[in-house]
Amino acid sequence: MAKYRMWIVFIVLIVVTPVLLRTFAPALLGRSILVGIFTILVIGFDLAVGYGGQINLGFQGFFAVGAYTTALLTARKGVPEMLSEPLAAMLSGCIVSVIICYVISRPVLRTGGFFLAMVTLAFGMVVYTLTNGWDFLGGASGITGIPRFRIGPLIFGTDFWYCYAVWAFALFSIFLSLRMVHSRWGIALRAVHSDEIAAEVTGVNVSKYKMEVFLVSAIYASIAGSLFAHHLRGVNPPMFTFTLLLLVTLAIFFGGMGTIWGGLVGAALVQSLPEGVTALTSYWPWMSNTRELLYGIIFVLIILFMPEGVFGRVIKVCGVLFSRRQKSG
Amino acid sequence: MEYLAYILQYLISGVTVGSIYAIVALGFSFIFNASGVCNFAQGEFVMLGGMAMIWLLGLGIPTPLAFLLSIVIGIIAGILLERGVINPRREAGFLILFALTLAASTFFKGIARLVWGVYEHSGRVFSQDVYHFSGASISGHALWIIGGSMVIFAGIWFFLTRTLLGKAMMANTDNRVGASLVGINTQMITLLSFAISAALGAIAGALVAPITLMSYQAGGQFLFRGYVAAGVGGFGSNLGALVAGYMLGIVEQLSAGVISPLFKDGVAFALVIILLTFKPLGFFGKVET
Repeated sequence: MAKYRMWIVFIVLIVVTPVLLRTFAPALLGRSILVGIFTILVIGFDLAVGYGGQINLGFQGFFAVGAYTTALLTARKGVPEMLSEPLAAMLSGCIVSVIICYVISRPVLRTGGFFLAMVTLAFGMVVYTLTNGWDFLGGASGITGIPRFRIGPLIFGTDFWYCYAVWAFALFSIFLSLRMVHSRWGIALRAVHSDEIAAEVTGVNVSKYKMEVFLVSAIYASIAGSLFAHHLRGVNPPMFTFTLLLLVTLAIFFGGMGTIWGGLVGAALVQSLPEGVTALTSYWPWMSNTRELLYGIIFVLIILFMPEGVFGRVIKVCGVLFSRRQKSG
Repeated sequence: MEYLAYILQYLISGVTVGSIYAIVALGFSFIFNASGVCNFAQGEFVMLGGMAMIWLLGLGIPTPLAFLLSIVIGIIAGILLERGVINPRREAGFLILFALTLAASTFFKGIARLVWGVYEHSGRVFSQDVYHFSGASISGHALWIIGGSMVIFAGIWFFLTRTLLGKAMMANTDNRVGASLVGINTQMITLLSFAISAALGAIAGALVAPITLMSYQAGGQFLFRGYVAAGVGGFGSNLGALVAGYMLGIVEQLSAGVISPLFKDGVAFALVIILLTFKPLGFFGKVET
């Protein structure tokens, strides 16, 4: 029973939270959706970075690919009806992401982290330039008029209902990631992360695992991007800058690298940071220029003193109470 | 004929910005050589140097003194980074160190925003002269940038090959354990490399500040270009970083002129992806990562 306790708590939270938010703080519904989307993004990043040890500095680019594919297919006229369905558009985004990811990372996966980081960094810049400069993608003003998310006749017409849709995706992605990292595949992946040569010697096909985890993480980013596009009903280039990658990195350190549930915690913490800073600045207006400074200090302190993450630290401190839950997660 | 003059003009501006990228890439390569850290706060050194330069000039301080002071500010930031963040966790892996420098860059950005606000600033050029030749023109300030970077490269070359400290640094790059066995203080070398690298970044910032807009967010663009140039040159190769820095600048300006200014960042970075597809270790690459 203990094995399922985390899941039961989580599902109850997902069902109850939107109702509570709608009653007491409707303005926070949008934030809750963002937390859900961000959770998918962070878990995807964590799979590649925390489990696979493969750094991806163009992660925001794959997020953008998903968002822009959805925008192009659902908001533009003259797209075949079958493709303009949100789910079909989401799937197309994933396919595009996978193809791009494969093409750019295949040659450099063997040569180590620095070059992979550089190629992905360059990819992120190319995506930003293209979205910013190419008229077909809307240029600096982006694409607007993306419809609400729907599955067939079922339309998620308000933030309240969309919250459930997003969290259903988040739930599924957590479930899937846990299945993945606890399978043979996940064990091999961790072997690759801790020592590539040793893994190779014991018969693990290192390049294959690196490639696969990279593709999986690109798919996660792309799905999160599609959901994001439906949430804001429009996309524009400044949404997909390096700052986003910074926030995702911050989130995996908040939650602890290589913990799936930690991704959820990290996403929630990072998404509540802006609310916290806004609250502070409304009390003390002079604080408005200290946003980066606060982020920077928090970020530095966490990595210096809690490299296992806030979540990991809480688990250690709470010891007995949380240890059983951690095993299930 | 007119077309050729255009090309010449783009080449000139390419070499000018390329000098800046080359300095940043050299700084990047310095830290990488000494400590194996990919320093994602490198762009912030450029930003701090540039912002400090503009600020000091605005206070009415003469240009040479302002230049020196902004380098000092950069060096302080570099030492702060090494002592405060990198040194305590120097045994950590690539990911932790990467995240630490990223965190530090956010911190520096925050400081800059607190001190200088969110607005973009621009400074005064070193010389107002403009020289014309065969249809193209070059400003006095561009000559200052190109000449200045040449002087810096010569100085660095002299330091690394002709002084004891520089040779110790090269030895440290070659083999850290071996260097510490013959009595080289490797931690000192790392600190020194951060200081030199920060100074290089600040010099680049102070040189480029008058011809571009600087704000607390300006570091990123220099970081990306410096990183990519250092990488295309093959990580750890100083010469490669220089060549790649100049090439990046020239490609960027040519594509801005021939294709469209909107795509100038994209073309250079797309070329980087294509290049690494065929030469996954960069031009001068010899590292066994």
